Amino acid sequence: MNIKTLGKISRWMNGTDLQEVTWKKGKNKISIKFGEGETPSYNLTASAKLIPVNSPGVGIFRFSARGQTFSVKEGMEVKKGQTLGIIEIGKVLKPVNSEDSGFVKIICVEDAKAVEYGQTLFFLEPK
Amino acid sequence: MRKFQKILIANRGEIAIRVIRTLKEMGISSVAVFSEADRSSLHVREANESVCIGPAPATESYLNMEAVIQAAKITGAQAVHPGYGFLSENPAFSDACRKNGIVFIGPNPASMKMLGYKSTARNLAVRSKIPVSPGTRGCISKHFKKEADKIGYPIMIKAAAGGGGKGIRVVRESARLEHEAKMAQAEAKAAFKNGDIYFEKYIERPRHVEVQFARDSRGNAVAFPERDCTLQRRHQKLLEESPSPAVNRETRKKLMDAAIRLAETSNYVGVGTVEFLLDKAGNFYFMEVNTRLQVEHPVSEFITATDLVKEQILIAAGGSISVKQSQISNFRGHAIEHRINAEDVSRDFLPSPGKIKEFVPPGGQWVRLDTHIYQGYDLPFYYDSMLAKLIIWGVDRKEAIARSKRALNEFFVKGIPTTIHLHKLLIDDENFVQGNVHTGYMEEFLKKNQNKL
Repeated sequence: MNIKTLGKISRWMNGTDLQEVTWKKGKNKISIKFGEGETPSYNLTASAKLIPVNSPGVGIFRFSARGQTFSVKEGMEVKKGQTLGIIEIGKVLKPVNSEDSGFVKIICVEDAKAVEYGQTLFFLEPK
Repeated sequence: MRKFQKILIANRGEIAIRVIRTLKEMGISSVAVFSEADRSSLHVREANESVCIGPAPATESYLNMEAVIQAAKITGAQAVHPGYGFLSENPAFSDACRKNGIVFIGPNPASMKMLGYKSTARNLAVRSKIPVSPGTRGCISKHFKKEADKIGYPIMIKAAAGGGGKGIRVVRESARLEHEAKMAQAEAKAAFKNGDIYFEKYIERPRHVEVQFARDSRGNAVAFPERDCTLQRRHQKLLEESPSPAVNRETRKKLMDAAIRLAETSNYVGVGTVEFLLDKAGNFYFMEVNTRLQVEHPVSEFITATDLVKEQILIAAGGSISVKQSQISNFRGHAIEHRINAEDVSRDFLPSPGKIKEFVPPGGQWVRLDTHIYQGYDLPFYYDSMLAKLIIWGVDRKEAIARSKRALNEFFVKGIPTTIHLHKLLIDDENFVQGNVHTGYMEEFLKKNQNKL
């Protein structure tokens, strides 16, 4: 499964009225479902529940800023509150912190890409 | 003159859609911004691109200057149209746009400041030889009688620290003056910890009229026939029309000339509106200036066949106004705007957002409906309660009223209470039809129609 595709699907869904999307390719299957409430819920293959980490503002996403680098890899373990990247909002740098402890399952963002408020940047799999 | 390829609309609701429509007609790409509560709003769908700028509360989204500017930067928008409300009259925002190399579609921060603050705007009106309501020069503590005689009765005693109608006393004869002034001082001291008072002429049963003007950076200026916004409830306009049934050709000319003088004296670049109080004798007095596009701008557009948003964009791009004063002065017919709100009239106009279960818009000749609602839309409760503007044109006022009545009867919204019914009563009201109203009339009207609401 392609991460870019996933990001694209979830972003595209945000702009539509769709509540649920299922995507199949070979053995892989992914379904994204937006709940009735404000927070969307995501289901991947089996029953794994993933937690999204969303952008705290409108700006440019960076994996490194002011001499600090956040090398985030898929599968790596992160702690709650750990900084995974930075959003550059004009002159202000806003950290993107992990919502929970767990493993980085999917990285949906690339370095130096423009992001909007609430855009999903990472999916975590809780411990 | 530069050409904008992409413009961001820093607003929501009907006005965002209204601006997007003009952008499409001009071949300019549009960027919508939205809060999390507005993800399914129509302006997001109508725009070429959209950016979520924050959570539902306006302070964190539509009023968040940095988020709006970042949205313009990441999408490459060259200009920002602020609509009305939100950041439209904020000099700091206009300044921030400029510092980020983005054109703010509106006057420069200096004009905005000068005309936005009441005292500097009033001074400017005096310099532009526009009548201001007579009053004392600043606060007074003695010689009450002499000062009141100079102004002429009736007068208003106002508390310097008051506002929003608080601390105002009306005095009709000199015998009561000394007593009322002392009372006002004591009251002001108790209420605002400041006993300073001043006098102003009290204008009885006034009308609210205003003149739309536009001026470009090359010095071309035009003024539009007056809009009459007399029907208000708690300073909220309900129904506007143009021209005013209470203004004759001679007064119209004076009003329009006054607006152009003000625009020239202040070296204003953009579109704006100057508001006046009009007394029964046809004298008008300066009230304030609005340095943005106004909610009721379509009535001026209808009678003059002008697109004010297009003019705003042309002016912001450094170009010339595309209409001539002679064209505007030869306006045709009469236009009425009904502001339809999601409010429960029977519960003191309580805002009543919710899901629109059924929506049948009015149509037909010379009917314009500016709205962001659609069947199935859930009106969020975070923002103002206006859900549509119904704008009607008629060859004269009589025809416009008949057409309004017809269109209001076609208009059907199910799911939430609206003020459509109130407008049906209003358009049928004898005093309204006769043009016999004043700014306090809605209170009388509501009392009179209590059991019909």
